[in-house]
Amino acid sequence: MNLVAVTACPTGVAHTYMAKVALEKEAKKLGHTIKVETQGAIGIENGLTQKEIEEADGIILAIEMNILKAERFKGKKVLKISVSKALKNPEDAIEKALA
Amino acid sequence: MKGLINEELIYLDLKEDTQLQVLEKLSEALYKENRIFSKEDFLKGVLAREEEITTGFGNGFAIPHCKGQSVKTPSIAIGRTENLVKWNAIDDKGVNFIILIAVPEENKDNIHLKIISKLASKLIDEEFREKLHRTTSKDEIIQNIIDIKIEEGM
Repeated sequence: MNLVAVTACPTGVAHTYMAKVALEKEAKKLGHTIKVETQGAIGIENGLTQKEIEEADGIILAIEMNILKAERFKGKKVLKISVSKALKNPEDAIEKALA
Repeated sequence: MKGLINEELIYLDLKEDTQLQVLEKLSEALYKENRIFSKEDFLKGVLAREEEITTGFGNGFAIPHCKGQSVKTPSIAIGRTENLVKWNAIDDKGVNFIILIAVPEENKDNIHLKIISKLASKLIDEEFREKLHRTTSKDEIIQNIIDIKIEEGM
């Protein structure tokens, strides 16, 4: 399966990036692919295109603040969780997003 | 432009064995090196963040951090402890490699923030973690951070 995700935390220096790698690592372990956009103190990196979002089998927003370009996800089924949840239990996040 | 880190901001054999002691020691170093305006305010910010969400990332690493007005210039202070320190880490294990990050409220300095974010991401890489755990000199640690800069073409 193919997932996309956005991670963002208010400080944007550590957890945003830690959650990204946690999701990537877990997705790989479970045999899925994932692209994770980060919105940290340096802005958007690895940004998701509308096409990537449309084609995804699951969408995870691991965010603790309002994100930029939120309109991309309008009308989509998304799993919205806290950054810490994604960090602590990425497997659960991925399974729920694909359910 | 000041670098992110220097030898005065690295301790490789800390005897401190509580989270607060370690954070105090590293904050003191940041203050002495003129990286933060107030040790007390900075420490308060770090502890508040820690309360919101643990920075114990597992495998012995923690990345405590504070972004705020108490910070003058983007900086990293590193402490490796002789004993495992309780940190409420996500893998429920102790921590012995602490990377304390200080970021000013107003960020005009993208290069340093980028290095910091890459450093956080690289801790998922076992080889990189091992390198940091095994390191015997402050120079080696600084070199690892310079390497991130080179890899990213900064």
